[in-house]
Amino acid sequence: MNRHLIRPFNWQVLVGLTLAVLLALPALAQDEDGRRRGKRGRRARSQPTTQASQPTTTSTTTSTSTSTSTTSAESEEEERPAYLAVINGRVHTITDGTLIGATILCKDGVIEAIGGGVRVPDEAEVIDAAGFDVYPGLVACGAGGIHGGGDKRDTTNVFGLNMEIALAGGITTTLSGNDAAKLTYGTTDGLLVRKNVFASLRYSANRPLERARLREDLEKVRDYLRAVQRYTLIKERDEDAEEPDKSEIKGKLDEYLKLLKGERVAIASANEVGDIRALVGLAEQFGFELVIRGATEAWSIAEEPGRAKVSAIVTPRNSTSPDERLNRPSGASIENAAILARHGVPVAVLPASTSITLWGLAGRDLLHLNMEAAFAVRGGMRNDEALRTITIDAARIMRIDDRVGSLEVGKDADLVICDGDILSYMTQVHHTIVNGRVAYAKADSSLYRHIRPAGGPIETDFDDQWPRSLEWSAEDLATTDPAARKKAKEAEKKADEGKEAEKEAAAE
Amino acid sequence: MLIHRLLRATLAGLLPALLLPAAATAVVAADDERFVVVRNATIVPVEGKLQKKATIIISEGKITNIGPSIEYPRNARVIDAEGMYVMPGLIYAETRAGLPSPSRRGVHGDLLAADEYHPRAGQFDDLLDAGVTTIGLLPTGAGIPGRAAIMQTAGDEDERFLQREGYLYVTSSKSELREALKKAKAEIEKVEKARKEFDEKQKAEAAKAKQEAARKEAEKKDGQPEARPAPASQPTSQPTTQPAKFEPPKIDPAYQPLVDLLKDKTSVPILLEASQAAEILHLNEVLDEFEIDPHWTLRNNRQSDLFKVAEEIARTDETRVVLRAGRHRVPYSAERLPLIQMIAAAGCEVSLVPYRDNAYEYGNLLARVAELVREGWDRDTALASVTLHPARLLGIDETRGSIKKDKVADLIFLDADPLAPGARVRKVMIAGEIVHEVEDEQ
Repeated sequence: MNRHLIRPFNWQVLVGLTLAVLLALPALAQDEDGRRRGKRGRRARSQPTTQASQPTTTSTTTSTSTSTSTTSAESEEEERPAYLAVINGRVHTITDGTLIGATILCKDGVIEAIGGGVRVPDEAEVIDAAGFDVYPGLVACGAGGIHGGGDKRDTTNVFGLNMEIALAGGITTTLSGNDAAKLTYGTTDGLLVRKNVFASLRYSANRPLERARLREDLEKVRDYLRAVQRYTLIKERDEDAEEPDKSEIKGKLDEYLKLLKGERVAIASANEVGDIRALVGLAEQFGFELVIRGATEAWSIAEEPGRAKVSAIVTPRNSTSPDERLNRPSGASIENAAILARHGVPVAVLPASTSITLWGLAGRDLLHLNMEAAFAVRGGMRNDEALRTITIDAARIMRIDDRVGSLEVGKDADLVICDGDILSYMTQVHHTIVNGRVAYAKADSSLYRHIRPAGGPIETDFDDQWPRSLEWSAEDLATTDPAARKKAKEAEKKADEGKEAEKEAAAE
Repeated sequence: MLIHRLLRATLAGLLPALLLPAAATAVVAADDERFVVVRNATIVPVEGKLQKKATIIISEGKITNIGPSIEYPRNARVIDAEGMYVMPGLIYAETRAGLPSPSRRGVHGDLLAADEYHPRAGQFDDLLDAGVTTIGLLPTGAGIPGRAAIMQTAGDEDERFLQREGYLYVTSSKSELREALKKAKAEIEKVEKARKEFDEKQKAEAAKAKQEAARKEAEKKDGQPEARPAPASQPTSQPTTQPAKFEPPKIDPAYQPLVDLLKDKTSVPILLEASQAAEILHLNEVLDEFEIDPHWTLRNNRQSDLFKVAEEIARTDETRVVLRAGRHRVPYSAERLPLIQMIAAAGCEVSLVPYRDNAYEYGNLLARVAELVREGWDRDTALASVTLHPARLLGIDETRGSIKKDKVADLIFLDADPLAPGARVRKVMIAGEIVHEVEDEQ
């Protein structure tokens, strides 16, 4: 097996690059407008280096050539669009089938073209994804600990560990708090997709007073809306008509007004049949769009949310025991997602824990969003349906499907390049591209680069496991190759035998 | 105690001079006292080459000459530095010097760290032990806690402060910084608006007075005697002869430095704190918006990810950065990382301060610098990072930071090469006076 020598972190390259930029400083200094180097520095940033059997990154404009370019070239580059092309991959567009060997051309963070005969501009950065699968970036309808609190644009740690791990899981957009935000690793540009995505409702059988209040409020808002409608109809004929009083519609009620007008989508948590039914009934009565979070027992009454156009965010691996006292089906089912989808309920899948957790049972946190969707397949969903639950349908539920969730011309250039079916447990993400910019490259990640570095299926043995080798020499790498180890052992054995033979000869 | 030491030092210099027989020299003893001579020293000048067996002549606290064999007045006070290394006193660009640290939040651009200094508080002896002659005394707290004081670690209490209004220290988050700058901008606009209103009012009044004058002229021409009594004419003519003075509305003093900064980008030096790579990107957004280029102080911990934004830190060709001298690793790995060298290579002028701001670490800085040199950092840059670079950052490089003619004689005497293991500061000289001596422990 041909192994590639990979150093865990090649800082010499980084130092070299910074030195190259330093050398170019006099050139930058001449440029009148170019006193501020913030933006330019970001542009001149090295694109991740890749190994031979990774999807290879080649760029006609390498960072050294940009840094040594003349002042005029530098200022020209400011206006030149940034192209990124992913070629030769198996492109899963989600909404428009799978294209084999197609090219995806991204320009300034937006998909410019997809297809076979796409011409790639000379200055484009090219990622050769031959033998790799290309998907749209995954969308998680709930996440914690990736973006900051308050205004995400001001507080997000864009070099955070959680963000890197989530990108390694193929996730590019999450619902953080109540905002849809991108995982723009290494930059603060283009972070926020949509603010205030949902209007959150609580409507649980355990809180009857709260229920009554919510109904009351909704009725008040509905009456107001009806009054407004009546007023708009009669105001031309009747001069005495009074405009309905809006002074009471404020705060929470204003939120409900948006909800009933259809400007917002409601979200509510419900797991038991009773709660789900009540919520679905409420949505039908007042005519608003609803997303049910949890929906553990929804499979047993799937036709009801299906009729009311209610969406669901489910966790296929949820395990709630059935209640034996009830004379109806109850408890969780692995078939939940499949049954709901069959009844026309838009389904998004989310793991049991919506944060990156490095403790507890492995594989149930946000890092394993794709695995959770794979469990929906175990429950009877088709592969392509399961893929939709973590891409376009998740985006649609958050009403951001005009920008993310599938590979279409005009949508944001959020791609995942991985070495196989993204629903397979063996698959590793090799590149994650957010807004047309490589946000994660496995070959550069201090966390994942040592795992099956060549991308092949069976490469690990126990030396690859804990404790992890942090600095690998060529010899180290050779010893992790089972074949090489076997050879070395045999050689050792032979040498020992030879020594013994010598000893015996000496003794004689 | 310090004053005692000072007295002792001056007496030790004075007495032999007074006791000399008058016939030995025609020059008046007091005159000779003006000269202090350091002989036989190995000089590490920071700017320029290392000089062995050299002499430094100091007059009135300033270096007047340096060279291998130069003449000096026979009765000058001579310090024999045989076997010693002499380098400029260390400068810590930011330290609290062990003074109590009040914690406050919000914008306090009007507060001065100099006001928090008390001669009997603080760990100035420890700083002197470490060979530090000048510090930037840091205001403490979150937000914008105030302005640092540039001061000497010893000497006359009256002459300790080189600058009472040093750099403005800013530890705000992105949103806090944006809000503070917006408020400062609003203050400027407030004054501009008031001036505009005033000008318009003045114009209107002038026009009115002119009209009035014209009307009166016409009345006079008509030859009609004034019906009303005379006093009315005097007050109406008065305002036109005496131009009213514009009194601008008061600017919130807490925001005054920021207002000055927005008006003139070089008027107030800013030291902006950041600890994470993402913070740099966030703060850069605000700095781009208001077109400000600050100097940075970076809280680089052992697993710092700041190397990822080295180029973004170097906003201009003259960005200066304060870093903590320590060892670094790639985050989430055990691999060593030359963070300080990388930030320097990106084009920042690096000033080093001790890894922690406490008396124990004060004395370890040179050893840390030596480590960096062993790791391959340029020796001259490394030495400048504790002398000349911080002097530039504090704006005192005209007078301090290296051993050079006409600079102030802030010198330290070490018993070995400054970067040799175990080298110790033996004497500290501030403005030509030995202010501190370190003896071997018994």
